[in-house]
Amino acid sequence: MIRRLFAAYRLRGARKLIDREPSPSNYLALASQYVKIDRLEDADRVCKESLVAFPGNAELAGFLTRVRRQLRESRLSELRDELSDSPRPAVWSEYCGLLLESGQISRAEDAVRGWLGRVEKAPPETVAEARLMLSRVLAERFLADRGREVGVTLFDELAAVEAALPRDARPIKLRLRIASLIGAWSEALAAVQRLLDLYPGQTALEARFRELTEKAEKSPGLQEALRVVERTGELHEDLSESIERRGASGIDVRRVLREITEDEGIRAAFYLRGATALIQGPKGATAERTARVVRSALHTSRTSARKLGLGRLQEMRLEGSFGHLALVAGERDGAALWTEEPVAAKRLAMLMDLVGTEADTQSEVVA
Amino acid sequence: MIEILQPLSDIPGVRYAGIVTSDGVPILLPGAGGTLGGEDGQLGLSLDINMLAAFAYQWYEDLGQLTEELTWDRSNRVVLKAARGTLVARAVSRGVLIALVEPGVGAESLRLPMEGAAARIDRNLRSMGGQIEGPLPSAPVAQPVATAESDTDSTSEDSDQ
Repeated sequence: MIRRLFAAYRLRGARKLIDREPSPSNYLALASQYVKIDRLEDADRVCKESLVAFPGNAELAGFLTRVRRQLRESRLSELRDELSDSPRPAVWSEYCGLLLESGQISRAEDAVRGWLGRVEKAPPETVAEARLMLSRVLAERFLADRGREVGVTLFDELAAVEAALPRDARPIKLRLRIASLIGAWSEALAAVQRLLDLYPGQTALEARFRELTEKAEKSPGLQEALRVVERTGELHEDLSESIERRGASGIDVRRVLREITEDEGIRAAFYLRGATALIQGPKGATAERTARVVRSALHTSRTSARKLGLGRLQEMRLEGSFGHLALVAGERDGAALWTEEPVAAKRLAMLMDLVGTEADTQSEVVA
Repeated sequence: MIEILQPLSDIPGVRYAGIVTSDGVPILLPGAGGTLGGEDGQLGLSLDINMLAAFAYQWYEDLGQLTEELTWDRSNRVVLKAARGTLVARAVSRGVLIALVEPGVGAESLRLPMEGAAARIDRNLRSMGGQIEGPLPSAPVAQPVATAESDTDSTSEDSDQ
């Protein structure tokens, strides 16, 4: 009772502070109060509201990401309880989907296999739903690892789902997405043709059809395209997810880099995307040389992670007499921080927000 | 060497622990995690133990060459965290001590055991003194016995980048 009274008092105080001075730190204080009393939806609302007032604020965007992760975790826990009481396809589907959304591919795979194990004698449509979810899991696994073997399994699985659900656009859309990402244009064209059968006259699909018809002339086969992706690790189109996430958060990269380097002991901060490098710290030729090395280190490590069977690179740290270099890898971009002391948790979270990599709860950080 | 590596490979979550010498010879012990990707069910990828050692060493060497461009010393500890596991490399005399751990296992939890193992390896090699022939890494942790030969062949493996 006393605790609740104190919480209400603190909440009122935080609200009044925003009323007097609507600053990012005051919004953060209010959102934190909501988190403390387990009102995550309210914390989510406050973060969204604050980002309208202060678009691009990295701390608010990062807090929102963490609140959403917590919301997902709490929903996952509810779904787990529901699955143990009454396992239904809709619950399984939401559970697996949420796991995928939060990037827990292995857990999603375990869950979907658990689901498949329970639907052996179910109607074919139910089995197909479970297999469609397995295809989604395989797609995420493939995008993380870029392994040919997983790619082949994915397309086999999609073929089985399409046969079971001939009027369903979802497996065809998934096929189109993955085929486009790996540059298997003939396969993508065939998928668009089938989508046009389902949705005749849709202008966006027709435009895609025309675009793919040209590309399909010089298209590698599915197997060849998978082999190339396994070897190079490069996809033909940007992964929209990562870009959307960054776009949604609308983070001002330059400002974040400036904020990061304000502290003592920070030697340089980098953001790299394609041929562009934004650097805060060193100047002139030193800056260029350092950025080039950081970019090469990211490239080398991405390739090595794949070769080692570890999947997509998330993070890398180097320690030596030069200090500490922490690199965070996004899908197509990367950020790095060169410091005298081990990189602090807060700074690493800022780097992760910058590249759109959702901070892992188990991420190793030195506080 | 095995008795030094065994405690490291016994740490929960460690899939492999071992040392790769600068001439490419791996001494790797499987940990409780077993083969690579085993945690990830049927979709896990298995990797030959020699290939694992070669790729890990090559990666460490590549990073060393890159940092040399900035006139930095070679890193004495490097951590690569990926979706399906983490690789930790620690420079030792005449090679690199590596540990491959499962996702979710923090590389920091291996710092102390790896430092201990690295110190024991260095001590053993020092005590063996001149009995050991062969190339040496240019790692900053190289001890006096090793430094006489330290620049002979630090880039002996071909890069496939």
